[in-house]
Amino acid sequence: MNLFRKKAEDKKPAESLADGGLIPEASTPAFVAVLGSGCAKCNALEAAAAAALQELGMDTRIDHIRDFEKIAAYGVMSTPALVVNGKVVSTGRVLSKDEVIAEIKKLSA
Amino acid sequence: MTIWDFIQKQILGMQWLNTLVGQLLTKLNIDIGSRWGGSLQFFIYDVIKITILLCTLIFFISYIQSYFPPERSKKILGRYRGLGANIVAALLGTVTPFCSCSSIPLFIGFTSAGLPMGVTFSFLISSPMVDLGSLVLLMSIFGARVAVVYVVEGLVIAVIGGEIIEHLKMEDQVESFIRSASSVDIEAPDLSQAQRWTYAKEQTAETFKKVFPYVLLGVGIGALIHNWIPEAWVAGVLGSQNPLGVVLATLIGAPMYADIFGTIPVAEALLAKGAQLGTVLSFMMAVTTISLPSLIMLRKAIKTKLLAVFIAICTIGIIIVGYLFNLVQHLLV
Repeated sequence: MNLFRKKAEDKKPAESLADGGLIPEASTPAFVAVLGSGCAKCNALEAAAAAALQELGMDTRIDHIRDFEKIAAYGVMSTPALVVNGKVVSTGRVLSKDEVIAEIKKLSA
Repeated sequence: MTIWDFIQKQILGMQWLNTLVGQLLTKLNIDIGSRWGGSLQFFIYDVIKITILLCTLIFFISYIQSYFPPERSKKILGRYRGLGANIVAALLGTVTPFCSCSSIPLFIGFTSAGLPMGVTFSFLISSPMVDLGSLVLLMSIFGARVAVVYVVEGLVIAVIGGEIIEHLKMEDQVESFIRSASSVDIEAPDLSQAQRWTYAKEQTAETFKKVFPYVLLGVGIGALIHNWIPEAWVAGVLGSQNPLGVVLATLIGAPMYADIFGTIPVAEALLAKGAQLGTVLSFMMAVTTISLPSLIMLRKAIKTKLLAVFIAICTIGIIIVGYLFNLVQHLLV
C-alpha cells in the first residue's frame, strides 16, 4: 500500500538523529506523530489521533515528539502539531477525532 | 455621542444586567442597599458580565488569530530590517495566538530564520502584554481612549525593550540548542472557514474553563473592595496622595499570576474607590505580563542573565506607563 511505503524507505539507523537533518526519524516512524511538550492540549490531540486511527482500523502507534529541537526541525512554531505520514497537517490547535480522520483520508487519496 | 454612550454603558458595561440582578434580588427580599446585598448584586452581575464578555471576545479574537499563525509571522518578519522589524514584531505579537508552552519552538523558529534577538523579544514582550482581548476588554471597562493609549504604550515598551536587548548583545545568553537549530520554513496549513470556527469554539471553551476560577476570585475581591474597604484607605495607598502607588502596584502584581479577565473586577473596584488609573493599569499589566509559568518556559530558552534583563525591562516599562497614565488621567476618563 502506498501509505506504508515512506516508512520502509526512510528506515535509518539511530545515529542519523544527531546530524541535524530535515526530518529526524526513529528507526520505524509511526504514521502519525504528535509534536508537543506534554501539556494538556498535546495529550488531547494524541487521544483524538489514537481514536481516529482506531476507527480507521490502522496501526495505532503514535510518535509523541517532545524534544524541542526535533519539533523545530519540522518548522513548527506552535504546539500541539499533527504530523501525518511525515507531513505537518496542523499546528497550534487540538483536532477532534473526526478532523484527524479527515486529514488522514486527505493524504491517502 | 449618545450612541457611543449607549454602547459603552449598556452593551459593553451591561448596565441593564446590573439593574436586572438588583430587581431579582429585591424580589427575593434581599436588601441591595445593605453591604451584603450590595456585594451579592455586584458579584452576580460582574461574574455574568465578565463571562459573557470573555466568551464573546475569545471567540471572535481566536477566529482572527487563526489567520496569524507564528509560522506566518516568521515569514513576514523576514522581510523587515532594523527598527521597522521590531515594530512589526510588536504588532504581530499582538495578533498571534500564543501559549507559553510554544515559547521554545517559537524562539527556535525566529532565531533559526536569522531574525535578530531584539525582534524576537519585541514579539515576546508584546504578546502577553498587549493583545486583542485586552484591547476590547479595556474599551468596555475604561473607554476607547484609555484602551488605545494602553495598546500604544504597550507596543512602545515592546519595541524599545527589544531594541535595548539587541544592543546589550546578549546572544550568548540564548541556549545553544536554539542557536544551532537549522531553519525550516513551512507553510502553516491553511484552514477552511469551518475549521476556523471550530478552532474559535475550542479556544473559547478551553479559555473559559481555565480562566473562570480567576474570574470568581477576582470578582470576589472586587466585591470586597467595593463594599467593605474604605475609600480613604484605597485612595491613600493607590491614589494621587501616594507618589509610589505605581511602583507598589507593579511590584505586587508582577509575581502574581492571573488572567486579565480576573484582574478587571479588582481594577474596576479600586478605581471606583479612588485609585489612580495608571496605578490600576500597571497592576493589571504586571499581573498578566510576568507570570511564573511563562518565565519557567522561557528559562528553558534563555539563560538567567537575559531572563533577568527581560523581567527588569518589562517591570520598568510598566512602571513608566503607569506614571504616564496617572499624568494624563484627567484627559482620558
